[in-house]
Amino acid sequence: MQVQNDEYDVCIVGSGAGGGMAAYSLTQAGARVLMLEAGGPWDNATDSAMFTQPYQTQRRGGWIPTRHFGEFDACIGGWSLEGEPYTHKDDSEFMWWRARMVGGRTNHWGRISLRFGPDDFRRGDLDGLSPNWPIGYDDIKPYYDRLDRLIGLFGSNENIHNQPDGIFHPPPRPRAYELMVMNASDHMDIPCVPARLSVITKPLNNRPPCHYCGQCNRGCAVHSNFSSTNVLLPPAHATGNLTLVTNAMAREVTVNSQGLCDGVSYVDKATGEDRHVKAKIVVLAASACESARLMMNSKSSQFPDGLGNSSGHLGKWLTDTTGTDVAGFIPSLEGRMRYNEDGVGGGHVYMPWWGNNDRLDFPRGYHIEVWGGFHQPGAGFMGGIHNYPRGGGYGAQLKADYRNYFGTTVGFSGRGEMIPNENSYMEIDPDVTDQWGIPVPRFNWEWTDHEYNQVRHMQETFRELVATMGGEVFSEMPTEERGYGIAKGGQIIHELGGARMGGDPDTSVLNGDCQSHDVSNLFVVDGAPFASQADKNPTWTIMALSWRASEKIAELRNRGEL
Amino acid sequence: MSSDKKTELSRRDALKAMGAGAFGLSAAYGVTPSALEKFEKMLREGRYVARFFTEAEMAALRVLADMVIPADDVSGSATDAGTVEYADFVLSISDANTQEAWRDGLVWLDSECSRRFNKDLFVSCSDEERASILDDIAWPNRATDEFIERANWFNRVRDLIGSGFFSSQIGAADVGYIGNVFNPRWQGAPPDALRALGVSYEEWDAKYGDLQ
Ligand SMILES: Cc1cc2nc3c(=O)[nH]c(=O)nc-3n(C[C@H](O)[C@H](O)[C@H](O)COP(=O)(O)OP(=O)(O)OC[C@H]3O[C@@H](n4cnc5c(N)ncnc54)[C@H](O)[C@@H]3O)c2cc1C
Ligand code: SF4
Repeated sequence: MQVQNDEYDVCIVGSGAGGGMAAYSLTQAGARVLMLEAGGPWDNATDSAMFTQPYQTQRRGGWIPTRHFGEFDACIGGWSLEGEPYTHKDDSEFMWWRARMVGGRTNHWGRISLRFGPDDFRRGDLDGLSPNWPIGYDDIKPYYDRLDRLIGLFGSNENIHNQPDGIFHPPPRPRAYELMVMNASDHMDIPCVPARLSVITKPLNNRPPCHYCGQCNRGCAVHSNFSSTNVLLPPAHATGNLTLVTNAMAREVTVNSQGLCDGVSYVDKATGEDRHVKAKIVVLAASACESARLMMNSKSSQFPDGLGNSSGHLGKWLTDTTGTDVAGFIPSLEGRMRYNEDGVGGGHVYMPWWGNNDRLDFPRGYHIEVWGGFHQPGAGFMGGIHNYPRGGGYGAQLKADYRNYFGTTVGFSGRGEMIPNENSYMEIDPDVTDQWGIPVPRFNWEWTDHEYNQVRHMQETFRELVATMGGEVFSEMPTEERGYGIAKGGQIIHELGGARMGGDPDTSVLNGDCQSHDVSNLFVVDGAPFASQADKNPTWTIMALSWRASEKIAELRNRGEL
Repeated sequence: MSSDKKTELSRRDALKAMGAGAFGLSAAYGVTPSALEKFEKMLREGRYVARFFTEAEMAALRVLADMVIPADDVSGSATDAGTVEYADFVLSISDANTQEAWRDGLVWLDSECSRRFNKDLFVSCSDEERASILDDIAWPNRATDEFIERANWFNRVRDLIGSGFFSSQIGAADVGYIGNVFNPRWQGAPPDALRALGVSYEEWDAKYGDLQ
């Protein structure tokens, strides 16, 4: 093994949302940071396929083995990675999406940037189904505010319970079909408001406003949307304090005789060689399951059950967002006028949670994402056209139907809160390793009636929305046997938990500052610390927590405590 | 062609406006520009060599594809847009089950021609004869038990030929897609489009402004 003698103040593992934020904050605080990233280099300025038309390639934008959401999508990775398997316990199902590139999933993510609300941190008090977080909204609010100012997002202040407002750029007008959705929502007494996406509509910190090409998932070549790659890492580099090592797959966090971390060993993927880097502080941000895996694999005589796992809760309380989708055909949109309907690469409106749980058979809630419109024709364009009223056919009639039905579909996706449960967890598979001999995670997953009932409510609501718009849904209501159409665990790609934070070291892995209860110089700043989900997407909260933890680290360093 | 020029122009304008570097196709997208150029040249010169289908299957597919998407006064046919070659490419990278299903369907078409019309091949049937077969399989909800499996197969054919045609340059222009361009002054839908749908920005603009 090659040992680098240079000792860094901090080693950050992973360059995505959590890692980018930590690097931004820590380098500005004067720490010398080494960042290990398992993937290769990526720069949206040069690597984005922003304006590529599908007909310019043979695949027309379709799936490729290294890009599961299509050849133009700015995510190298997917549901499986060659040479890096993961396994399942018995017949349970869990899908694990992994990016392998600088910036991680922030290059292609959906940019929905919602704050968790005050209730989301104190569910223990409210319904007792999951513990309170050791911190509250007031602890994290200043970081949300600073994220809004630094990174920027559009949205609107609505003053809705448990849906905190923010500091927003003005929202872009909705598409015509989104106005129709707003009317239908209104009719059903569901609030439908401007979306909150980290896309800027005014210049901000030398980034130009969005030019509405609708290709956010391809990575924005002008950085009008958020990516760790092009928004957080450049200022970190500019301090001169950041060393980024790509193709560096962390294997293990190493510890010294005092039971503190002293560095990270990693595989240099280019050569296959094992290397070690020394650091005074280790910050894990490799994504929730990957960070938990790293801690589990960091076994030593002092930590026989994995690093920071004296509670035995490492890998437990894994959650994902619940999800289901319904799409419908809206006859009034047939044969409508053509114009550029792209807008940003995501919905311009959404429905925050509005329900009253006293009158429902499930706890907590979900939000609704809206989609539809004239999408760029590529591989799979208007697949299943026989599901439209004409029922299929061929020839002149079919050709006319494609024109007529183009842009007539409106869809709704529910994204809801799962309650952490004992049977949804990960552990290390005793028999399987990846291509570098690193033991891999084995997942066990179970939904409970909390989630099934919530998803049934989504299905019923979306069907009613489509009907209110005068439309017809394309599919039958999924049965109870099919879990009412619930997505598989992991499929919504909001995996959280695995190293949850808590006030009690016996039942949690980290404290409220994302610091290990057992190892004072070990921090985790991705989705792993989350004590529970919310009816919101997690990334804005991952970054707020990471920023807050990074400032804590800087403070402790200044006091000489780390 | 003219729509292509327009796109090219606005792309260049956008690049200039943004002062960004040159992006576009790279090897990482699976096809290098030169591979695509070679492919297009072969198409133009009519010497495409199929990767998956046999020559006989390609011939049957050409006939079938133009029955699915024929030329009309708006645009050309499936074969005009290179759709059969696209389908061949897609099948060449598809899983074995999908490949098998496509082959099987084409074999069935020929056998149906011999059963019904005493002709060996789909391609040797008349237009009316071919249409009478498609009529039995092109509407899955109406298909009788005898044809339901074939109707499922035809769904695949329709989807691949249809998406292949409309994702071509000819097809995208036909269906009227005019996006993925530099469009900095987003205004939402034009007034006529809103009027036709009975919606308006009045309330939105009053609450949130119109960005301009
Ligand atoms: C298609 C899609 C849409 C999404 N939309 C939204 C949305 O709209 N809103 C929202 O809030 N969230 C969304 N998400 C989720 C969001 O992307 C994640 O929550 C966020 O990126 C998590 O940040 P992270 O830092 O934990 O992980 P990542 O961003 O995945 O970064 C982890 C990095 O660590 C690296 N790494 C992993 N293992 C190792 C190792 N052993 N050694 C070194 N490096 C390693 C990886 O290569 C990767 O670069 C979406 C995700 C996807 C895939
Ligand atoms: S829609 Fe806006 S933010 Fe998204 S890729 Fe295009 S310019 Fe960038």
